[in-house]
Amino acid sequence: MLVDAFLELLNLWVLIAALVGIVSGIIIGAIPGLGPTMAIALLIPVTFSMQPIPAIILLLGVYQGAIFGGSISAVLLNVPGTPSSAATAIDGFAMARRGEGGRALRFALYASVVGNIFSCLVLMALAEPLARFALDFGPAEMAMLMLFALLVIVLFGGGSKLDALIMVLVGACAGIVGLDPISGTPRFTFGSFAFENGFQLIPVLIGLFAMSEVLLQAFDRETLVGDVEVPPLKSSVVRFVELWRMRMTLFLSSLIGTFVGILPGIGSTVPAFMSYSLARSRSADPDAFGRGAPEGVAAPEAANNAVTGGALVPTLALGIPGDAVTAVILGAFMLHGLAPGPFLFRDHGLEVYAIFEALLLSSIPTVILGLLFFRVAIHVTRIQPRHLLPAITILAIFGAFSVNNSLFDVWVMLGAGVLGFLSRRANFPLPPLLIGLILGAPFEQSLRQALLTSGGGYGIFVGSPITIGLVALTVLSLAISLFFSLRKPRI
Amino acid sequence: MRYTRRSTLALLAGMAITPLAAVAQQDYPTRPITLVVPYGAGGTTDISARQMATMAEKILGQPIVVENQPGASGTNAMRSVASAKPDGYTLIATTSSPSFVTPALRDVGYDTLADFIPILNYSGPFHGVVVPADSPYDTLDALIEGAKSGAVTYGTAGAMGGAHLAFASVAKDTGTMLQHVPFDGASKATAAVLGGHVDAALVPAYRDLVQDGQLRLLGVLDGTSDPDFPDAPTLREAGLAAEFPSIVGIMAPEGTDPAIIAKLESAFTEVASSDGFKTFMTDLSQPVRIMSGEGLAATIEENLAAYREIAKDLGN
Amino acid sequence: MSTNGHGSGVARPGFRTLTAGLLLAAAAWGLYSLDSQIQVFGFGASGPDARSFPRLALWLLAAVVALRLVLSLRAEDFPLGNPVRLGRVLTVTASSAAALWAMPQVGFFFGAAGAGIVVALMLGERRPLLLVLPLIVAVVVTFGGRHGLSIPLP
Repeated sequence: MLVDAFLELLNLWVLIAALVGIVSGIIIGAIPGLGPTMAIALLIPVTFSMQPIPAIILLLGVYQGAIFGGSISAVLLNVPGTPSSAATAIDGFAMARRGEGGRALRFALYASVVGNIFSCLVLMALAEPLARFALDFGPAEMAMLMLFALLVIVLFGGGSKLDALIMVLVGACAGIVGLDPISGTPRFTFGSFAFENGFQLIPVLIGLFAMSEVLLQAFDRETLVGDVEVPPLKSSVVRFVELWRMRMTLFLSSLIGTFVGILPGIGSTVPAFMSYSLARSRSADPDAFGRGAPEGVAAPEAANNAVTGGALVPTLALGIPGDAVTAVILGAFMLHGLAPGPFLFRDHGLEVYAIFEALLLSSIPTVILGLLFFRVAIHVTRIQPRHLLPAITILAIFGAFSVNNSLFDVWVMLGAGVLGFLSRRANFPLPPLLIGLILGAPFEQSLRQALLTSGGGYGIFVGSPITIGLVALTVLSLAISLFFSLRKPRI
Repeated sequence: MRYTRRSTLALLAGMAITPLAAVAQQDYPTRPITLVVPYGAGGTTDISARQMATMAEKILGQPIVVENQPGASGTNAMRSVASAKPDGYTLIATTSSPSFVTPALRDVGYDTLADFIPILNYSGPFHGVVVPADSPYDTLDALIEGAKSGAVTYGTAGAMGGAHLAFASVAKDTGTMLQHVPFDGASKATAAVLGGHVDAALVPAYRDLVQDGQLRLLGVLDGTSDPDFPDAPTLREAGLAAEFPSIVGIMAPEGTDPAIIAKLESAFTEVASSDGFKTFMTDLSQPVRIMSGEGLAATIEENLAAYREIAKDLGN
Repeated sequence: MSTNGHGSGVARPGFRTLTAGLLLAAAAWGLYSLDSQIQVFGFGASGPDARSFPRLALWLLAAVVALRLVLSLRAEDFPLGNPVRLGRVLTVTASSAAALWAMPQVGFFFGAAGAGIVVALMLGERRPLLLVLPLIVAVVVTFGGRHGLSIPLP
């Protein structure tokens, strides 16, 4: 199987798809405000007419490229291209101000490759067993798993828990619009057929992140007048010994990234900050962190790249996306006839393993292109917002329209843009909103399915080893969170 | 009032372009044809429609672009095709649910009989009543008998689908406790019955799992039995007054030129009856069931009436 | 970034109060219109119906937003700032909405290009020559979308 899958990759189109994906990913990712989610969402229509393997490889290449691209603007400009590279910016920007931007970028690049390889190996080893295990996940198990995921994003998402709870609920309430999953009756559709589809994820995503960026920049214009200063970029080498010295940091960060990635609904920002804190607490010189410690760049980058492989495990095996990015990738898989779920590996084993191997091997072109491109990509970050954002507006309208070929989705995108602007201005976090929107409706559906199968008895939610385990995890997380907030009343 | 004016305008416009249309139909098609699929990519309807399109474009000499318009159980796509220009360049590959199930339940913004011209029916997956291999129920009778003493749960691909309504009417007629559990698509319902989370499932594409011994087929919801499993009775053969005939057909918006319809019908029929298509559909564990445009129209009309009855019964 | 600056009495309302207030109003409206917006046909099934989860979620949302409003009464907010800045945001939103409104009539190209030009002006683009940029992007996207990706743009 592995060999057959590898042979599938020996194809010029696959190579071209990977290269095109990585290059466009790096460029888009380096543009502040445009993260991997947006990059993938914008490129999905390009893959409509392609074969499934090159199409998915192109999108995964975009994803990897965009994560690295995000660290370029994070390190050089202190503007994280993606939320997950916010942790990278802390030490990366400090290094760049010392003129060590090149070194910081190389550390980021190599660490992300380590994280990616680690998580791909876990994905290849674990996804299929987990897919078999997935049959044990009935409605009750799913409901408890999603409750746990929603709770985790509220408790451990960082920032104010109350704000995160508000945003999760906003997302869940937005998910109500459409047809009721159990009885099929319209809910909050205002008698309009367009609303029956509900708010689609991609238009909401484009609105929340890209359109709100346009509005934010329109609001903050005064602070942008004049060119943003780019620090000088000294080229400096990273020796292998330096990486070897931080092997434990890299390993632990990759481990955190992979396993947090497997838990649906957390995303890559949390593990990036978790591994940054862990690296700092394990370091002999914690004070160096925040002032330009290479480990402070490597740890979050290894973690946020390791999330990809981890997050693909539940996405492919259960059809539950781990974060916004995998949600978009999930859509791309379905678009190309690879329906995620228990039967994916049975029906499309060859394609899936070919994609895994491509993900693993794409580290090589990522390194080569990354080294070639970070100098070029810096010029992208030099484009002035007033030239860039009109183009983003047009692309946002186009991107939202192209999902279902419906103008209604573009209105949804614009509405989400205004909501995103208000929330970002008011410092309410957006990731919980997305997770609430993604998981809210399926959570309700599973809950009600479980109650239908049990004849209305709530005992079903503690009726199997899996549900008991999940309930225990949920209670444990609540307890841990309570314990820490009592110990450290204010941060 | 508005509609009258619009149709008058349409009539006038139609008259104005008649000479053009007469020329156009002769060398139809001159540009790519759009085939709308009312579901997301990757489902059986989508895959079979794509294969149909690939094979038919060789005959018609123009590309056929498959466009997915998922959502609202397929009614969004039906509505958009119903209002598309009837020039033969927008077609829909549709199924039972948006053709005669959902329109019988609520206003969907189109009338299948008045707004569409059926071209042909080419498939229609058999929906089976399946239970896990270790289930205590060996026959449909045993399942119904079991539902007399306690609730028996069954999963389907979604709320208010044809399978759900057929069994709801069985439950009403027999006075049994058949509890419906809707899932998000047939594959999730299949996964749930495999995992033993529901007692039975009414799903298509059961062949491999039944042959593999993981599921047991008790009967089929269609009017005729599945040629792969001739022993599994239809609901009527088992003495239950309900059926859910499954269609997958191609339709064009009302008003499309009859010459174009004839051309499309002959092209699609040629594809559907080819060996290559049959092999492809067998791999997909889908049957090939060819029915002419008139036959399809009659089936839709008959079932629309039947489902209106069921819906009325259930509403009370 | 600090929201816990207690001390100086009741702060002036800003973005947090505005956003939370809007959310509270939306949740309250949702609860008010819940019964008219969601029809319930029971098949005699027990347990939660189509209204239960929305009711629960909306009540929870209203409760936590209200709690947030009470807690941040004394906290510093992000000021709304000069009305001109908000005016720019409103202009961009309104022009995009107008572009969408007009799109079925004027087509994707003019709608999108128009919205792009307004955004450029609002971001302080003053050289008329550079206003051609959104036009070029709109042309590329319109052509690429229609012909390259066969998307039926309006």
